[in-house]
Amino acid sequence: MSDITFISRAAELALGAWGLGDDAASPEEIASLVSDGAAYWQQSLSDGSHLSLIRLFSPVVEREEVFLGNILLNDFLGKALIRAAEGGGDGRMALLANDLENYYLLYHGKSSLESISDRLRQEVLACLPDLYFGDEDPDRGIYGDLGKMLTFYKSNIEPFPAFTVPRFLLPQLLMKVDDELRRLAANEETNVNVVMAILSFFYSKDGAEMQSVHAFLERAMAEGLIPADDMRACFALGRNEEFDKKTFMEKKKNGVVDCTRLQETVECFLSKIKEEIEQGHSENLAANLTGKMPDLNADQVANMLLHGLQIGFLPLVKAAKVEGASACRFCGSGVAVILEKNIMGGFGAGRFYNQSPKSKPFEEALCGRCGISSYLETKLLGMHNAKPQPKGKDYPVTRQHNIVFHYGHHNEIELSHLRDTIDDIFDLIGAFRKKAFEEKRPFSLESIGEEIARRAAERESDADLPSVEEAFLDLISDDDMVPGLDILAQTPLDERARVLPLGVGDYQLMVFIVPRLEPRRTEAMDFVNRRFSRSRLAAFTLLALLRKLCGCNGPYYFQSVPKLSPGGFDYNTFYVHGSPMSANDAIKRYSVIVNFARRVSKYRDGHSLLADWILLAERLEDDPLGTFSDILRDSPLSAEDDRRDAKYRRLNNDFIKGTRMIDGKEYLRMMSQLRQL
Amino acid sequence: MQKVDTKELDEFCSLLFFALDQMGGDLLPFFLSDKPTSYEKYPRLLLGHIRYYNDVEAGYEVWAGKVLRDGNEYRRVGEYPELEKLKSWLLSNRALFENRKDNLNHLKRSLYARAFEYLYPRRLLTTAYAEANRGNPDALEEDAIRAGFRQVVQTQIDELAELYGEGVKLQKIVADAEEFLISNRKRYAWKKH
Repeated sequence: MSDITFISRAAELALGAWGLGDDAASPEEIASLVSDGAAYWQQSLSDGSHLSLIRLFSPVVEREEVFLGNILLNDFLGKALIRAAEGGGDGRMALLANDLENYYLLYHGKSSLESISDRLRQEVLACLPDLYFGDEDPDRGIYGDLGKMLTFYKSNIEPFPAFTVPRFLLPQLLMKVDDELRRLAANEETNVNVVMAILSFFYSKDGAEMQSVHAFLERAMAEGLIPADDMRACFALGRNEEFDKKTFMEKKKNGVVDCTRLQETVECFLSKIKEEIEQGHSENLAANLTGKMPDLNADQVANMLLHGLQIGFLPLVKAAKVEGASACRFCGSGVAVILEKNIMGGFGAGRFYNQSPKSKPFEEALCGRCGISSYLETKLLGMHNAKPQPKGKDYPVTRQHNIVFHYGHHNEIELSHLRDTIDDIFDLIGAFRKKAFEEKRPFSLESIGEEIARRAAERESDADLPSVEEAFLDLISDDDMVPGLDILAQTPLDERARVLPLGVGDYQLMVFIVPRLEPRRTEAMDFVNRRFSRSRLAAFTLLALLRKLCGCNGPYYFQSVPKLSPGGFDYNTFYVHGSPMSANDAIKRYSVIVNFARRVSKYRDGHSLLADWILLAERLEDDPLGTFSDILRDSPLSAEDDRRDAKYRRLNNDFIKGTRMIDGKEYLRMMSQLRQL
Repeated sequence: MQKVDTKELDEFCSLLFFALDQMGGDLLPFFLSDKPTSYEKYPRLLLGHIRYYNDVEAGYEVWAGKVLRDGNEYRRVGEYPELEKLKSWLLSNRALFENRKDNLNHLKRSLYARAFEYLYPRRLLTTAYAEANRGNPDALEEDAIRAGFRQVVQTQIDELAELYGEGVKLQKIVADAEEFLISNRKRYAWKKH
């Protein structure tokens, strides 16, 4: 059963803090209104003020290109509404509960719904630059970092989603980019191509300069924006040596770059740029970029952001029909005004969809809301150049990820501890993976466990183990957790999981963002991740691990959307692919299968072991005995069997005397467990 | 989609494997290290005949002829109650097989695992006894087996008890193994290395 006591508790706390104990409706009444999905409820109080329950509804588009960004946008809007309602000084507002689309807020004051809506619009407009370029501030619903978007090392295809940034924000964008450029140039480990690509993308006059750093530098030197001698000196060229493309590329390729000179040159360029920006010449400086940014005024941007929003019973923006415009490719409801590029639309940009026959490839295909959602997603996760297929061409796209939602009682300290623990696990696994790679030996979780146990033995006591290793040893010795760790071990070395709270209060909706699982040499980019996300079994193992790490029995959601409706947020439940299952049952049932599949699956060169064991576990679940027959048939159980030819690994190497056969009791144990499931 | 009748098929398999094992003549493999096909050959034949005729009785009769020809000679001239028991079970449960491709397909796919599960513990015990008495033909006399079998293979019985518990299932495994050892004791008279 869904428990709504956390909502009544939140209402009780708010009413208590506002001194409305007796006069107002009971917290239970308010909680049941939330549970019933009430859009608006109001109670007049004796002092002339009123108490209202307001639902902020903001639709979520369930497409991977914009889904996470849309959730972040909703979080920003929910928090902006609280600031807006309290900003006039005549009211107080508290968030009682939220899912991804609905935020239930309790308001006490004298403002009408209309005036709160107007203030929300003002608040959104005021925060717009921060939403786009601001540093992370979860209290205001601002996430990510512009620096993560500036990691591209070439700009032949637009690597930055400038198409979603309104033109009037160009000066702020350039100032922020300049700060990042300074930081990158000052860091000696920065790849010089990154600095060059950023310069040519943001400050090019036309497409040719954007695609060719040399063309950009030549023009900038000719116009005096970059001191020509200094730039030559950066690449160890004398005064009389020609700065032609071939020489430049060769020097760059061979790493003949004076980093200190480059830093000075970039600084010189940026100080000139700053003056120009302050004089209002941004559009001339970045002519190519300006052409890519939509020419929208602040009101139009606010309308786009607030499109589809409803405060209580009031829609914030009335839908306007634009003649000749297509519907948005992602949400289908907004008007497509943003150009579709890979950095926003992923690998599918330019491909067929229902509206595409009416438009040319890479024309306007996204509405403003989906555009900014995509931008926020990139700001949070970063971008990279990736190939969809091993032999394909690479495109700049947003980093992919897996999302897990969770409701739980967690305060800021617990949340921070959880973040640290997950980071520690990633660091530890990453360090061991790196070591295994350097030593040219296969990496496995078991080898980590053995290594840590060996270190512990050397120190003679577990108490001497560093706490991270100790915690990891605990996890790895629990069979139910190993497959989840195996999944985390498949994420790219340079990426980290994120844990973000959505909403506020004691019982929070949290989102775990786990990086995309890495394919092996012969596999397509999303092959392993797709197999993982389509498998209920594999999802359960990851949720089991996260549940153990967070230590609470709130519901978890994978490829499911949390809903504040009865049956939608039950305790001790895993919601996977839209259907609920008791968490305890899932862990007990599936860890047996998954662990067996992990142990017998055999590494194939160029293929991911994870993808193989997930498939095998799925087959074991579908047809336990049939699949078990296949495993036994293709396992080298007998001494005569060639282990190299066998499709599966032996469970052990203990031969029984007189049988020329390995000890098969583990197989029997597995079969009897399978029969009991 | 019809659900496979797992429980009934489990019962069928235990009757079938018991019958084949008792008939001797390598209807089920004597050594565990034999190829998977030797585990499945005769069970598959029965299923194939039943499917071909879509009639349990006709399929069984054709299969039983083959089994009797290939089985141990002394069993052929003697009685074979296990086969009769299997036949009567099949006839009373013919609805499980006739026009039930799902059950037959499931059985065919899972036969090796089922046969392995049946045979492994039994052969484990007989082999352990033979290995313990390598070069000692006296220990393979019927009386000696009846007197000492459980004691000799107690370690293996304890290991199996961890899997199956001490109940009827384990006792049946031990009794079957003992009977098989007695019937095939000449083949277990292994020389010393």
